[in-house]
Amino acid sequence: MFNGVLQSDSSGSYPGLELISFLLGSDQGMLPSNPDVKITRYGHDFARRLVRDETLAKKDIDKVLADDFSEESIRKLLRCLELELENITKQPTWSRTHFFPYTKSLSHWDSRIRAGKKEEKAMLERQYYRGAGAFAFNVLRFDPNEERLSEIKKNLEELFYPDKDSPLEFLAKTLRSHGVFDSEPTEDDVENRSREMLGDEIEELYRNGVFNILSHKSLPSVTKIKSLVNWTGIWLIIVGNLRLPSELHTNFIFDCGGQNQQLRRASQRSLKEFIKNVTLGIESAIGDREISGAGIQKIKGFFASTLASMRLINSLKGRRHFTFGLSGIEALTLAAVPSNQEMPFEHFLNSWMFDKCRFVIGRVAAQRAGLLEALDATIFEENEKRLADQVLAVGMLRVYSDATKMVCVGDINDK
Amino acid sequence: MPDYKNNSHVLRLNRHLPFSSAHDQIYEEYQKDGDTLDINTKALQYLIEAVNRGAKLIVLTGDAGHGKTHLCRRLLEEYFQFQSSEARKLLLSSCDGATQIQNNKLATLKKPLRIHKDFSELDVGEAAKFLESTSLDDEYITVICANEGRLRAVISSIENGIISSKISQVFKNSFKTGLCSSDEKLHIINLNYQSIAGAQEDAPKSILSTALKSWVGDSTRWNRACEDCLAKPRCPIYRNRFLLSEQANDLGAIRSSRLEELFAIVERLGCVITLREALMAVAYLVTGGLTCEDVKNKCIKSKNDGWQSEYIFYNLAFSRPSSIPNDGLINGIPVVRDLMKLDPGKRGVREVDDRLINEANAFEHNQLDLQYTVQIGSDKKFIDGANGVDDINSNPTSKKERLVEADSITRVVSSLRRRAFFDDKVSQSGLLQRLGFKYGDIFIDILSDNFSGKKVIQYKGHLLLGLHMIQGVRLATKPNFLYLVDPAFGRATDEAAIISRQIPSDQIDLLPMRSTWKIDSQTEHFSLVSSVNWIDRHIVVRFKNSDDDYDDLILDLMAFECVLKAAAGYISEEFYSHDLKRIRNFLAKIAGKNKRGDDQISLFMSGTIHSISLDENIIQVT
Repeated sequence: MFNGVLQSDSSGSYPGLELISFLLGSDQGMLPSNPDVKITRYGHDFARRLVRDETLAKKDIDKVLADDFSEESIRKLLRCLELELENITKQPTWSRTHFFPYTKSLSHWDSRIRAGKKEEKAMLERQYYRGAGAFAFNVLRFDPNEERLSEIKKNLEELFYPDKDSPLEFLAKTLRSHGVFDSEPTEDDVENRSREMLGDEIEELYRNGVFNILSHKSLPSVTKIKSLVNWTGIWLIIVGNLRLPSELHTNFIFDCGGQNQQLRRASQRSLKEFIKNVTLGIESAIGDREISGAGIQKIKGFFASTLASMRLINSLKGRRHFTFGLSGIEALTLAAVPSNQEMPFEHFLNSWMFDKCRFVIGRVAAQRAGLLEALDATIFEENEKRLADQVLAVGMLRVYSDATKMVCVGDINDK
Repeated sequence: MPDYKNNSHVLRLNRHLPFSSAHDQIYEEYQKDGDTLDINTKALQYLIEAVNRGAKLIVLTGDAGHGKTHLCRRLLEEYFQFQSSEARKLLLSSCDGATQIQNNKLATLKKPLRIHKDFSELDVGEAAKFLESTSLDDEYITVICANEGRLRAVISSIENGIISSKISQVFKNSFKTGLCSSDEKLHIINLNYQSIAGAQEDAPKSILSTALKSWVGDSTRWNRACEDCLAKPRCPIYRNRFLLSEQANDLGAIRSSRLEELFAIVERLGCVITLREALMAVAYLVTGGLTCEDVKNKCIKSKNDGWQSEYIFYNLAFSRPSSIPNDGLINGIPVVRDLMKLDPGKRGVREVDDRLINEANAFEHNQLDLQYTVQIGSDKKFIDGANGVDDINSNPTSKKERLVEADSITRVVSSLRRRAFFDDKVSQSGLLQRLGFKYGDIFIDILSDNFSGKKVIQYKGHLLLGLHMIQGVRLATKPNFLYLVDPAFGRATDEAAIISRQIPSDQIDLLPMRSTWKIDSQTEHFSLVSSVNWIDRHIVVRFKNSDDDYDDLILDLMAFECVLKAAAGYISEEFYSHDLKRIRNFLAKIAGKNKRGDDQISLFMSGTIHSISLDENIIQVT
């Protein structure tokens, strides 16, 4: 139904991380058009175990790190590079610990050691990467618009392969070489199941978003990589909504101000409705196949968990409603506006947020979504202003006059 | 026998209020001669000077309310020596861009003017055509009023237009060079830079202070009707006039200047206040939205005082009176929302509170603005705030009564603190501290002319500490470098980070906003700073990469406070999240401009810098 594998274990940033593993591991270069692709996978198990596995043998550590002080220093350093995990109370195991791919050698695949076989070498095996990233990878590489595809390739090359590697890259490369990796590129049997493209607007939305994010030359690479990962997560939520049968599509009502109770309740309702519609969609799509209740729960879990990770809802648990966190606003703005261009704020709200993403914020969107019968229009006008304040505060909105607010990234005069 | 009177001046002020039914005075086109407040702004002086120096095209741009139409009318009066009424008629009849305006008596001396008073009246295509119909060699002078968004839309709608590309060039360059013109034929006066609270050497009185002085200081207008009015001793409007007037009160001048400083702080927090909004704010602060008729009704209805306190200017600035709906006030005069965030009534300063509440000798007794009515249950009390809050204490018998008592105390204490904010003889830094800006005095110091010597070193040191802290770098010693961590560690980390770049302190400059432009005596007269009433709204931290290559970090008062608070050791991530994100993004951007060799990796850990070596695939930290 969604054309890709969406599962709660792989929620949040994992699809983005998987995507980057594909981008950097492909044996035929960045985003190959040849369908059959093999990838080289790296486990980064040494560095991950150094941070989170107390059973890592001292002799293995000594092969890589000169002394105890070096060991402690590198451990502390690596801890800062871990992917932030929501909703965990215990210390994560090393196989759950992933590094955020700030630089190319920090990108890695899932790896683990079989239970009870601590002496064994780590193996590369899908655990949190379940195929959503492979799906995004295929959407990008099977782009019928060759000009856009080649621009995305070029910008990804520039992003991950700069003229001069950073000190972090040198360090990460050394650490990665001490872990397990594929000596020969291997075929991935999950990726090849999501190669069929529907050629619809939803795929175009993702490609355009990625194109725009990568086009912002003035932004630091870290911001672009974070936004690429976040946009991948946000887009998968949009896929989850808009690839349901049309009668089950949900308008996500965002509460940007947090002051109006009616809006808050409407937002809570729309979130519940979305999760319910996902369940109904799955049930109608199952047909004769057998999927357990737990299986359906896992698919539902993907959306709730990803919404929380992408900062599109207030919290993972408790009374939840749609709202924007800074990382969500940043990813959406970068994906909406190409470099060196301005987009009127109204256009951003109506044509991008609502028409493309189905996010209801302003009055016009609320009117189109038929919400003004139940809620007062001024609530959405105020909501719109609150979002404008937030976008303005992160420096992505330029207010020229009472009537003109333009969404833009950086200095539009910087060419 | 005294009776209730209507003061026409109060009605006139009321016509400036957006929530008044007769709010026509806020639009230039509908103003009456007698009601007009003509302020000689620097923009007007610049406009007249540009016309006299041979300008051919002048574009007045800025938000609605900055006074573009007003400037056109004043130009007609000053340049052609038309009477005000005549200029007004021309404004309505001939300022559509189609007519050349001339005073036939001065035809040999003055070139005709062609004025388009509002580009927003035309659609983009028509406006573009109009623009291209002008030439910098015309025999007449063209003046165009366009808000900034409309101007950009019009310019970008024309491809290869001579005039539009010239305007576009001057406009874009103005942000980089700080100049309104490149050849003195085409001028762009950007009123969005106009400050209502800023005062300079050649314009010592700010727009706000001029308006205030004119409206509250004019004794004739107040005395004519109010002297014999029965409501005078009980009237909050007259009380406001008394408190703010230099002539009527010793502290009037101080209070007016405090108001000016307050608005200057709002502008330095990034808010653009238009001239219209400034006039509305002054009218609101003086009248509280009340008319003479309202005051009469209230006096008749309530035999006792106490109701007036919410209409006193220092309470109006920070809280809404019950008679004005919240939406009406906030949407009508948006600056009030910004003022409310600064409320000194919400901040307790021990020595101030001691004086106001415990010693209770700060104010004279029986002043109208300090009278309160407090009703707890059936017990109704009349409180004189000058005595502190002890008289409010009663024996509440229910939760509701306890809440009423607590609310009443809060109300009185807030009012006393606000009044003290306006009355106390404290320095500017003391005032900023009362508003919650602990490091505001440093911000003001940097903007001042005598910022040099030891201060530079000292403040730069604070700033470096703050920028380090924002990146999570807590150094054990005072650094002479700004260490920029690899952007991957951009979020504060307590553990360790790789240093991507280090910038020596002497490559970092702290500059006031105006100093970022290199303006010499030749170009000074058509600089942005000279074109409008100016205030430095932010400071710039300049990181020099080479002599002519640099990166600028803009810090307004709030962002500056955020950096300096971080320097003190702790920063609230949630409260300053937007500023922190912007600063971290900036630091990440400049960290990428690393010029250091590849052979050394610097690691920051536990307050010190270490180095990492990679030899034979083995990692060593020393």
